[in-house]
Amino acid sequence: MHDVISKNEIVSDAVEAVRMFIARTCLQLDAEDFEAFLQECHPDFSYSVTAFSPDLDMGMVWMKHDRAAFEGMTRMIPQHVRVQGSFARFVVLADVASDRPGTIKVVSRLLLTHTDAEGKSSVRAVGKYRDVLSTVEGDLKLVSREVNLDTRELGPGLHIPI
Amino acid sequence: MSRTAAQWDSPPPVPDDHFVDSLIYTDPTILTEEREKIFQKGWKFACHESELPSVGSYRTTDVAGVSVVVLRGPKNKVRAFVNACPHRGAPIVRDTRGTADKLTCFYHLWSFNSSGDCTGMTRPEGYELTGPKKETSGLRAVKVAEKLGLIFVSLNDDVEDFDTHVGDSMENVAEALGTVPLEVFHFHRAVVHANWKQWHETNMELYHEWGHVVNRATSIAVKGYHDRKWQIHKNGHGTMKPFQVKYQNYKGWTARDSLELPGLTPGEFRFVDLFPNTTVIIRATNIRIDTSIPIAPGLTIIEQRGLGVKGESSADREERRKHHNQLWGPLGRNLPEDFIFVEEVMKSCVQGASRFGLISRHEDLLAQDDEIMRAYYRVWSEKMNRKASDPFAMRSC
Repeated sequence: MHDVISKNEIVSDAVEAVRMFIARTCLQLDAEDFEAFLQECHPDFSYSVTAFSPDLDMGMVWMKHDRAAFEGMTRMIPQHVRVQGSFARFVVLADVASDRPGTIKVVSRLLLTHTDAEGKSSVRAVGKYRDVLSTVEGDLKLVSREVNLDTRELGPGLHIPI
Repeated sequence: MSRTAAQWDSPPPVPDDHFVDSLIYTDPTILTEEREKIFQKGWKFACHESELPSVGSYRTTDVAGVSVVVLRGPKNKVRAFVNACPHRGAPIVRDTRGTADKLTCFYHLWSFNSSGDCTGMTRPEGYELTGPKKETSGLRAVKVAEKLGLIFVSLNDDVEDFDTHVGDSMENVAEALGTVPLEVFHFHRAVVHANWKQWHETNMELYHEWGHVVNRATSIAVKGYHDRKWQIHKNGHGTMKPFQVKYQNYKGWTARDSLELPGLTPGEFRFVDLFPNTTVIIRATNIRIDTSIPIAPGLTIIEQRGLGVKGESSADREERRKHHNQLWGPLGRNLPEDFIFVEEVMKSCVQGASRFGLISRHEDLLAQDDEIMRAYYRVWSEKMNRKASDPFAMRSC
């Protein structure tokens, strides 16, 4: 990966690699395979969910976890009373940039859908993934993900990471 | 043993104030009357004082389907008005919050000051023949009460004084709410497909805590949980003695043994349920204020606010917010479960699968006694002139 990424220059192969990486993390989250997802994450992984409140005229943080807390949260999910059905994440890469070697900042447009037990699908949330990736021994790893939501009305809410 | 259809559809064999008929949740006539007899007559939580940070700040809320604007005027006086221009009824403000030296209707540009006086009519000469005059064209004032930083409004000019209305039911939360300046750091709305009373019930009846894995681990299993007694006010409000929650019993969480709000000990839990639909819950380090806006019998907007200490350090705020988000907010561990509880029950009510809801637990007024629910529905019945257990058999109160 270092061969194809240099400072301020992301070539198309690298962009495709990033696109596939982000897509893979989405499929893992869709499948609620959090173990696999965490294998894509850097040891210093951090995760947050933010939204701006026009009612308060300030940003809000709805979740903020380091890797251990994220992992602990996912392990407890099966014990909760949950919304039935499944979620799917659709992302479109919007920006890929690198301001220093080995670090890639990615902004993706995000659509989160929900399909209920009867098979009816609806949009649950819209926002962005702001991801920071790094290359570790040639592999991409997710260092941080901020889910920046446009949607502030999430219905019942979610136990799973977005 | 299982029951026949006739047995299932018969009222349960308990006293008639020990169950409710699901028609109180599903029938449109009931909601129309609740708007008129409860929401238009009583006090409704509007916002926290910090949401009106300066002179000219305003915030809107919905009372019984009527938009109300609450604003802070000169000398910090808080007033409220029906958010409708006396000219043709257009909303005076169209956003949920803002700041304005004067309020100007966007339709014909009539203007009003913070006292609700009409200060400007576009081309007033057109009204010289028949009127009206500016002097008689003020906004419709709405009663305001402020207590412990919470702002309540009432559409009823003859509403009971707020302090009399709540009595001593808010003493339990007074120190936490009223000692240091607080501010709202979390706000979200959510639409729940359930009746507004079903949502308020989740804040009243503690028996449902068995459904939350968080509460089973951190509260129900903890010594002292069942030793608290309900204190119930004649107006349908309820509170209980403080209790120390063991947050560290939920895997991955730690004890809340620092940053306690004034008057609280580590891990302390306090709350007050205010009739008809507002709850203040304090979990050691942060506060949640819950209120609702009924839209239809089975559709309710929930508004949730999270409060912390104004001006605290970013590190303290981060810790406080973490605690808030653990249970509350749309990604909290408990909130989705409460939604699921009430939405699933509502489905049964609407389908006709479930006709009656039991509120018959007696535990000497201890934690999971249903007396708070029975008291709530006695007040409801009094105001509605209907029995909650048989709402369409009219009675005289």
